[in-house]
Amino acid sequence: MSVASGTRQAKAAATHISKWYGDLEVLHDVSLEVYQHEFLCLLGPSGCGKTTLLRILDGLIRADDGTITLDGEVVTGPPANAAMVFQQFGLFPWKTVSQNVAFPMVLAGTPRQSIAEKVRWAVELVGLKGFEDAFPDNLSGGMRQRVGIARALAVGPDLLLMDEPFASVDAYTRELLQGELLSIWERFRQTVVFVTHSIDEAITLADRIVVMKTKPGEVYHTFDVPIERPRTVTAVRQHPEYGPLRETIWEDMLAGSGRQA
Amino acid sequence: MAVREPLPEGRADLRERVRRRRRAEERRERNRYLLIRLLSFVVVLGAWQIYGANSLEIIFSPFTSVIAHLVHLLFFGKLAGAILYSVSMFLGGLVIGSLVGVTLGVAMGRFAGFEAAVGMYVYAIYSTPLVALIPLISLWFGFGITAQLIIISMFVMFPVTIAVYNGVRSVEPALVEVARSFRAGERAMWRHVIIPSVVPYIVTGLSQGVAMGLVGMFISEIYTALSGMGQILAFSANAYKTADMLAVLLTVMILGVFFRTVIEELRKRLAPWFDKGSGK
Repeated sequence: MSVASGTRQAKAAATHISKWYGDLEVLHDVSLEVYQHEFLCLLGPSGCGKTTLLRILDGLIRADDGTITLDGEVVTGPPANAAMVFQQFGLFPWKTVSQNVAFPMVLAGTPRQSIAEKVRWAVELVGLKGFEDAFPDNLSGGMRQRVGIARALAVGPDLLLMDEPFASVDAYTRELLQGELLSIWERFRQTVVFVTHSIDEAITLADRIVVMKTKPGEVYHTFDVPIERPRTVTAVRQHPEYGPLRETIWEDMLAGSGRQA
Repeated sequence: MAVREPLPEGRADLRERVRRRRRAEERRERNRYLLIRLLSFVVVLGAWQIYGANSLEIIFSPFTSVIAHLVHLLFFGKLAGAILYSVSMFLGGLVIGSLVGVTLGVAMGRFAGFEAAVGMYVYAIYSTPLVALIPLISLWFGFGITAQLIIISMFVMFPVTIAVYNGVRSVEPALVEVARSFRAGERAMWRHVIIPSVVPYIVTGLSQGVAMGLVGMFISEIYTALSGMGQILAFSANAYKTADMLAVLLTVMILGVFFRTVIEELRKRLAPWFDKGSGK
């Protein structure tokens, strides 16, 4: 087990969060703690408000009720030590790979020399060496998301927020990127909140899975993933706990969206 | 995509052969289109030549005669001075019109209140044939350089305004959110997100502005004080010197193509990422 039990310290916390879009309540009284150095997956079907919750955690939008804290302080706007990876990559088409990765550091006023070093490090980490000067439009979906991941990692965030980062790439690339994320994360162990609607992806990556229920979005049940690290995608799928856990979570998701198994 | 594994000996040779064959195909294709262009050019000029030679001099002139008149006008007539005058006026109007157009477009796109206050007039004037406004402009500003510059600027301004306005409106909200997530302030937002998004639209607007500006240039020279190339055109038309008229038209055509090429080069410099889907 990767997570020390008992004395777990909360990195980020959502307390009694509610959010309405017009007359529709997308999040209802959501309370959630993300522990230090934990890989947490928010799992749920489309429309359960998991992306909205992530954007609230990042301070991008305000909840109508409740508070978000990061390291014990109330979040009112995007925090400096959090970085987001976006579903549609969110790359600037007029910036090259290097410039995209450098962007958050340029905004933060990091010295140029230091930016160059971190960009080189991050680009190499995600396997994009040789593509520093390419524009995003000339890259495949998988490569674009590598840029998105490099951009988030380069700032050295304590909290990494990932919004279905692999939902826009093909199945093969998706599995490849999951494996790479595993090995990167097992080296650095930032606190991660990872939004997905794929049970397999959640089990493969997470220490803990929070299943959300729809209409309105609420925290339903939480599952620990008892699969030891370091992991590989293949090893996880062959693990004896994998099948039963998948089954349990599947039934839970069905129940959470008001369907019969 | 990136990593090319070294191929075994025989395969490397094959790759080289495939590459060479592809290059040869591309070359052949290029040559074919070049040939078609050349043929088309010969046919059109030939037809012009033959038709011109067989028609009355006041109706049409053969190509060679037009070229001869062009050379004559340039070196012994007033054409060189006229080009200088017209092009300076055009460039002046282009600069004023683009500056006003970009400012107006950005303000309308970014501030909804400003758009509500001003937008309807911009659309109203844009929908009015600008030529119809010329008597009014002459009445207010006379027939001199001021009036000419105002006319050319107006012709340039409206397409630029509309293009820039659309550009500012179409800034990707997702990218604004990305920048916000990484704590961009208003200035950084302009520098890194809004301005780069709008640059291709500005260039598109300029390209239309150039075309409209040339129209404005001629109109201002014919409808206000006769001057520049417009004057030569009008005088030769009145005197039935058709070859001279055609020579002036040819000059404008060349100028138009030249300025459009400059704008396209500008786009490649300013917005190298905006290559796809931009047409030509």
